[in-house]
Amino acid sequence: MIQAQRVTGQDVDHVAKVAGVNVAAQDREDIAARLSELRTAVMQMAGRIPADSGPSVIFDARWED
Amino acid sequence: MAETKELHWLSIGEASQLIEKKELSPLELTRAVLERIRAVDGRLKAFVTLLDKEAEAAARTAEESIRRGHYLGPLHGIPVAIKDLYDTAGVKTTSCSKLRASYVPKEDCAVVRKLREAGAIILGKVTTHEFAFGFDSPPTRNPWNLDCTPSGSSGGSGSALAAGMCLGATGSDTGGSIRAPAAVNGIAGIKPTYGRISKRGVAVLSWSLDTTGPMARTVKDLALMLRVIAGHDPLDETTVDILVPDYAAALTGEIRGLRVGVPKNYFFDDVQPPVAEAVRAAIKALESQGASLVEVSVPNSEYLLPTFFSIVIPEAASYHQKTFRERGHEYGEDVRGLLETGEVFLATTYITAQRSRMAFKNAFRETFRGIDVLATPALPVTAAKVGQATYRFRDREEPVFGAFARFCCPFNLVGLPAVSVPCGFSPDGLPIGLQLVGKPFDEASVLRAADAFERTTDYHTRRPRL
Repeated sequence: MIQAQRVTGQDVDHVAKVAGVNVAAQDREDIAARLSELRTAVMQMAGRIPADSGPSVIFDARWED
Repeated sequence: MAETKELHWLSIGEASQLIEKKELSPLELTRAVLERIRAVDGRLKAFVTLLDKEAEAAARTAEESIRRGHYLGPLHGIPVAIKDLYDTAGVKTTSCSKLRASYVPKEDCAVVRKLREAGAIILGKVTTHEFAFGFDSPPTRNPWNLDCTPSGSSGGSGSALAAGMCLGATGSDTGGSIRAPAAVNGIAGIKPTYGRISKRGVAVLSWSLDTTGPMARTVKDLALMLRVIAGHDPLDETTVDILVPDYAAALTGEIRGLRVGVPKNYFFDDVQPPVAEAVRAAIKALESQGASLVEVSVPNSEYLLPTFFSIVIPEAASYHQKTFRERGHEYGEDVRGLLETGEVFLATTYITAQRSRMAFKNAFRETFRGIDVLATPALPVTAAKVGQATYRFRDREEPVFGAFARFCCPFNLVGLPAVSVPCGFSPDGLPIGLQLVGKPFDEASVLRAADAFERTTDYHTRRPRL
């Protein structure tokens, strides 16, 4: 399972480095829990929609005029 | 109950009739409201900036103008409060954050500009949660119980209205920030359809979820304010060029044949019993007025809240990205934690949530084929105590943020108009809100149903003891 592992505070720290931000040490575990929970829920919901369905907000190359 | 005939308790509808007939002077009304603010805001702390001199000057101008026969309409001479997220020319607009403590915009935001053009009197700026990212509005208190919060993020607006410190107010709503404070303060508030009102000049929380909207003590007052502030803004590309109807004219009191959807799932799960009872009774009242009730179900409802969070968190982090990197330590602890989460959020999770959002939109489109409005509790709970972190339901604890977003945020996700109107009080005297949701751009039906319900109750006329 791709999503089997829970995110840890250490993972948050690594991603924060990639993102170039400082995450307060006391916030890491809470953030890890939040990321795990949201990722899992969003992927479960994704399993219930057609694989080729797009987002409701589309960032594309259209010109208005 | 407090005396309800005092000027500061007038509704916009009542005051505007008197002003139009020159039986009430805008200056007299404004002075009465300013006096009320001086009397009670020391305890409630709803105002961040009070513009008393400016308000009196504007009221004097309004009075002169009306005397000369230039009556501008139902907001002319009406004192209103502005959420401190809305830009006001020459007046500090702090978003209740240290980061914007000295920000003074050069121009009014689109909504404030429209309010001024309609002759409304700007009393001052009222509190929000920092950058509107939370369901509290410190240091503001709830007039119904000073140990409770007025919710948020438009908590200053809710508290000020419930305490008679303004006749109307502005709010903004990304996941419930108009409806939650409306519900817990016992007043009315509408989150209109996404695209109905300009957001230009209002600090962003989440581009794809944010809406601006009016808050007031009666549904008719919402209708009067919405008519003025709604409409296409060529400088806000999210607004839609569609007719703005005369909402007040839609308030006929007649709802025979209106199809009211009653959810079978989700919206009555984990609801405090007094809230469920009050909302069920309100739905029965709609039926007794001739509406037909239609049971509906909301598919995949357990994913509404995580989908909402997976959009609002990264969008907020994107808006704050530069400031957060430079001055992250200056954000409040809770907002900082949410922005940190957004910074490390996966793009794929965000985009997948946006895809899920389309599925929810389609599901609600189907649901609304068989109904005209949907009735739900605005919130599963009554007001939180100051410092309260969670609500307890039978077998679980739910964070205040989740409890307050749970029934409101689905309609930010799908962009539908939704109102909260008072529908009762808990045994400990805290207000309860009924949420009515409509089809896209059909605010008129939502307001008509809410007004018809309001006519059968006295909840909107009850006043907190202060």
